Amino acid sequence: MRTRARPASFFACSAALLAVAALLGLAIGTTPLSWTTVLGVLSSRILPVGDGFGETEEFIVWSIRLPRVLVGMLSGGSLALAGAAMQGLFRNPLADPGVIGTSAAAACGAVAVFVTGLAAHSALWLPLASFVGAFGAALLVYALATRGGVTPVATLVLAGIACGSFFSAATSLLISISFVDWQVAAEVMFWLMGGLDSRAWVHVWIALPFAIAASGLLLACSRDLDLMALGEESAQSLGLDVERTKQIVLLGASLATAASVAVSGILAFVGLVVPHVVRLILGPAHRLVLPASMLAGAGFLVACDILARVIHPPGEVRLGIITAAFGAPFFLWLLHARRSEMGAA
Amino acid sequence: MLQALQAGYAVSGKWLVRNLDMEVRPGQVTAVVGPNGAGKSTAMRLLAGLLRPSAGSVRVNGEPAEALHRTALARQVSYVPAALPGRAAFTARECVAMGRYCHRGRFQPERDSDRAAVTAALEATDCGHLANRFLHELSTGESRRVALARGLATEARHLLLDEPTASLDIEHSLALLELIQRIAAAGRSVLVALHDLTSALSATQYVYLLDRGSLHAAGKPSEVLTAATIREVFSVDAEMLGSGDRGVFRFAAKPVSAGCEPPSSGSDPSLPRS
Repeated sequence: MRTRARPASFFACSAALLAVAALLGLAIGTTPLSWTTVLGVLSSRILPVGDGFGETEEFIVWSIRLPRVLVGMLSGGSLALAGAAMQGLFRNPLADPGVIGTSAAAACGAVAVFVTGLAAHSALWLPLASFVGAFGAALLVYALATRGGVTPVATLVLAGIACGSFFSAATSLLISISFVDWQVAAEVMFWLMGGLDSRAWVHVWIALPFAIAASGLLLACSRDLDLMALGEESAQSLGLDVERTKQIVLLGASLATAASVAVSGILAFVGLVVPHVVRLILGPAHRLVLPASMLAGAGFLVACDILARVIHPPGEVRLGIITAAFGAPFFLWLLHARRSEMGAA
Repeated sequence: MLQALQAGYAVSGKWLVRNLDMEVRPGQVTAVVGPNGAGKSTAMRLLAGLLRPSAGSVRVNGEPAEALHRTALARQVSYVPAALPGRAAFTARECVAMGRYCHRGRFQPERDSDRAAVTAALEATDCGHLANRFLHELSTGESRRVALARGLATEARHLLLDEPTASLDIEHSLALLELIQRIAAAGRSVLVALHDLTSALSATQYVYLLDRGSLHAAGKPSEVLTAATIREVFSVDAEMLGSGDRGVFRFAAKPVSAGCEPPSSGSDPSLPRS
């Protein structure tokens, strides 16, 4: 990388793309709506102006598609933020929310709720179990990797990978047990592939507080992550509490991961690819990379969700398949084109 | 003033260094020398407050280092590692600006005083022209100077440099030593861990010679670094050409082979050193 884009132009472009994606997300679907209808319904709900849209249109835009788009933004933004923070913390370009086992554990918690039948009782069980899983894993991994108040990041990654495999195995066990009832198993498998289908306002309210808390914690650490990037020892000598930073970033990243998994299942590559692209464009300063990743991640996921809906209507391709199908080849291309900067040379 | 008082550091019951009495004085370059494994780096890290002494204490202006808040300590003592990791795509200026961390509030933007300190640090280390270059584009010598500039930008009174001349060629290593002397002459106290004994002799005002975790000798370079002590601590044959701070050393490995008597040097060659 020899040049960096001006941060203001990057943020303006991302925000514009996000707005376009959101509008398209509201307009496109089994019942196509014109963008004037979409804007009309939005303004009639938010501002006390404009009325006279059919109840059906209003229902589709306000109660079906808007929560779906908002959940997509929250989920994509949280994942990309968590990925950006983890790549900074681990000084490893391959780190993402999956690396310390949080997403596997969140999924495991969610699957347990499906299999035990609790999911049918209340919509709140699923996010609750995801949060418990994500935090449980983060705490476990942290405790396993800490000796005498010091937590080496290399140990953290290894402990995280081990715990992640363990939770994946537990998830597989739960699924194989649930095959007795084919319907439950199918539901679980579908959920695991990630998706934003039938998301309602309740899901927005579930994810929102955690996404806000996570972004507050992580954005406050942006300068700390910059220092960490140039080595823990010199960061400490410059006045940074290195161990405290690790705790805060892990907490923030697992909050963000849980917020996403709870409302949209497992979405591969969002947390890995988006921060990379942002870094290549804006440079490594976390003060820019973290908020830019949130914005870009939100736009990316909303766009992927539109694709998921239009590829073969009226059915939907699972969102996790779309993100991986786009993310993986893109990542490989990035790896090839920018080998030296990705540290893979 | 930065001091170690009977400081020691142990890992799982084994002393890496012990009973260190050291002092870093303003306006001087102080050297820490010793063979590999003698505890130079541990001593530096203890003085930098990066390690908490297992025995004794490290004091900054009379106060125990661990009683100071991290940022307060960072404003007093700055540790400059041998190398900056080159992979992160920061520019030299961004890297040096990180030295202002201990002066800025968490959400405080860069102030004029920060910018001035960064510019001054870049200029003092002849890095002004490198400001907008990326770290991974710098040569080893340039990268060392940028690391030093970051230490200067903290405005800490005490600078601790871990092997600043390692893997530098003669020209760059002399230039860096010259720079370090200039920085000390401007009123800071500088402690350098050095491998090159001739540099320690010519570029520093005080030397601590470490051997197997303890202080073997301390004093003026010309008094501490004699052919006899070098033979004893480094297990090599040493000969000094010239005298005083203009002296240079000539070394030869001691021929150690089974069944042969060691040459008459007075030291015990059978002790393996790591």
